[in-house]
Amino acid sequence: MKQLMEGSEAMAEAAIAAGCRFFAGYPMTPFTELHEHFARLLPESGGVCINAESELEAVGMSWGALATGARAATGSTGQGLSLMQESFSEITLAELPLVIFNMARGQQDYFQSTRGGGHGDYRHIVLAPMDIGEAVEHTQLAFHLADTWRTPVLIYGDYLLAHVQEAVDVTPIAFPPVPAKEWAVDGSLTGTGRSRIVSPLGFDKHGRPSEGIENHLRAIIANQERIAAEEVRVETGYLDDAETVIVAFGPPGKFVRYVVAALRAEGQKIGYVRPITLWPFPYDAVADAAERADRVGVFEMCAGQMIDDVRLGVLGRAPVTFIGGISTDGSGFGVGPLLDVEHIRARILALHRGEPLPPLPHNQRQF
Amino acid sequence: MGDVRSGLDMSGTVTIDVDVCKGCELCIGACPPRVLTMSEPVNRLGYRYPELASGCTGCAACQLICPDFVFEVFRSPRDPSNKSGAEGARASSRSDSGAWPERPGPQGQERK
Amino acid sequence: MVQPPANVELRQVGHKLPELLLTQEHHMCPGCGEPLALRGYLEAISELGLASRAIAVAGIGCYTSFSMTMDIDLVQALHGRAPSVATGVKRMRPDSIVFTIQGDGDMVNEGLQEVLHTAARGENVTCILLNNGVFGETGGHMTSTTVLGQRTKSSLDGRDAEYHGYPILIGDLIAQLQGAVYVARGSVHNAGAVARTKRMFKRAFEIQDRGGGFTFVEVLTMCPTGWFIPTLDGPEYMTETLGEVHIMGELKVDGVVRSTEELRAENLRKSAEVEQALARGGIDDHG
Repeated sequence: MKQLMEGSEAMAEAAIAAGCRFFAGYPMTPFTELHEHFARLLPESGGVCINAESELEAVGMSWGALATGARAATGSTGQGLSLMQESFSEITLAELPLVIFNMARGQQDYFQSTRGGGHGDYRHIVLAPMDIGEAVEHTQLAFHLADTWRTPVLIYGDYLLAHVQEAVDVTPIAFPPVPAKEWAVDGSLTGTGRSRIVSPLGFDKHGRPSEGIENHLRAIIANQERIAAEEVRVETGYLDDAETVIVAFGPPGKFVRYVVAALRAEGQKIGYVRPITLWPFPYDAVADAAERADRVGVFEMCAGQMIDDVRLGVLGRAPVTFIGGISTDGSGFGVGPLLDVEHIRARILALHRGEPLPPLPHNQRQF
Repeated sequence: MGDVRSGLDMSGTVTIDVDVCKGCELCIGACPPRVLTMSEPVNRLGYRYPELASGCTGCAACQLICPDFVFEVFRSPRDPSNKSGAEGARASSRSDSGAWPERPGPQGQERK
Repeated sequence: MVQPPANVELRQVGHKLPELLLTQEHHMCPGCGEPLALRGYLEAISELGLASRAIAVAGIGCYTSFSMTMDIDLVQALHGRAPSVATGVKRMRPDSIVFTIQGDGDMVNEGLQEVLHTAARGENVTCILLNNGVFGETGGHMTSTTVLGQRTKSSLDGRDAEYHGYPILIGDLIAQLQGAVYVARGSVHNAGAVARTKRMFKRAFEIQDRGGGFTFVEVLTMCPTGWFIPTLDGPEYMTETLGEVHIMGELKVDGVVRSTEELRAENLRKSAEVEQALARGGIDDHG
């Protein structure tokens, strides 16, 4: 049954529907409300939510909860996630199924999310819902993918997903079974000679064959290659005869989709690609679209980060132009005036017609 | 397990697992009756190791101070000299003196 | 293992190895104090019958190599982060006995806020600090517990208050927090201290087992390699430097903080008892 719900509440409800039992976070706009809803909902469902004293501690607490086999999550805004990056690197190497919510300030965290702000060769899955309905689905999918692949999954949200209300259905989604967590610690094997170790370092307990750090790292990468092959998610539209292809993700991707549909109705040969997984990135879909198109535009609410991946996908098949830009409200936390159908339409049309891009709109509120 | 040197006297003795000794000599300073001395030869790791002379009281100080867990300690409870030596010290240790180890019972009883 | 001659009835005293170790061998340097603390908490867990519920969370330091050789369900944490990880473990497994193992660099430098907040929250876990006043694993650098005058590779002429600042007495600091119910500082400079420290571990674990709240056991450990001294000098060097500043004893019992004067007096009294015991045993100096 659908209910009108703020995005933050819907995502917290969805996480609990997916079996999340632990959440730790640290307040930060626009992530704060998600944390508030976890704080209210988790204890009601037998779980635990901790208002951690820092992001460093929040991710550590979730790490501990995960090690016991519980479904656990943490989150913040990109700025707060910067503090957690060391742990994200190592949790990936420890093969723990952490779900991370980034309620980002715009789309400036693409690099952070997909390249990993932390050290090492790691990647983890990044889901980018375009609206609250999809965020509810992605939240549940995130826990499933995390357990299936034993890897962190990040959900890329933003101010809109956090604060807009939509009518959504938070019924639990049935997924295929996930592997049993025989690695999880509960103390029961202490002193038996068969005790367990959950570690990013690639060492097993003494006496058991240890893969060693080099093989451990290679195994992690092999797993990531399988994820890259199997978990790409993308939505495309109107590509068959598109002369211009626009690539955009998240809520701006939904705006682009709307504008492209409207322009199509007017007879303009424009299509779109909306990456749903930012990692693994849908390189093939982008390449395929570029193969047939004359030009590719990238719309992002930042200085242009995903455009790097688009260029890697296009690989010279067509010119790639950035048509987005930095646009925030006066606080820097929320949505700027660029995220508007008229502005997006004007920029897409300018690219399509080979005209100069209109100047970026400015927010009216100045401190 | 390699060469194990043991000594034996009236009240106690230790076995010394010399192969894993790293020669730190902490036991030498810790031994109340001063019956441990360092060997001339070295073990497989290249370290000198303790050797036991007679006079051990089985007090277990060496066991407690050894970072490499080389000592196994035994006492002869029926020996009358035990009373005046190790057992005497043990009795006074029960007041949490900070000087003497707790004395767990025989291994068979202590372990599950 | 060659056993002693069978012609005398012998009773084994203590255990050669802690029950919860998978192997005797380890990578610690000669004269290291950390295995002595290790013996203390492993034997405390075994003897209290808590083994089948024990989960360890280890930080990063020399002692991390014990993560692989302790027969304990274990979560390997990042440098500084073990108390938070332990919090997550305990909240999901409240019936288990959860303890952290950290060094002074890990706990007091990198992760100071973690242990303070965990204590303040009164998490029902036991945090163990192996304090040698130096970054041993990197080769002897100054930490937040390095005492004034102590020479390290990053305080070559000794720690100077004006230049390097003052040490943090972490046990004393934690004792001030309402959430901490039991705070003790042990030492492994001699056999008696090792035994006394083991009793501290036991008290801490017993409190955790009955849901008593946050417990903290700091242990002063020798690091002759990081102190650049002969192994045999380790205990004396430690008592004369670290031990003079980080005072051994039970700093907080049943939520009541004890004064440094009280601890010093108690340590003197215990030393006298030791002397007496030694005299009765007819044994040489063993203070």
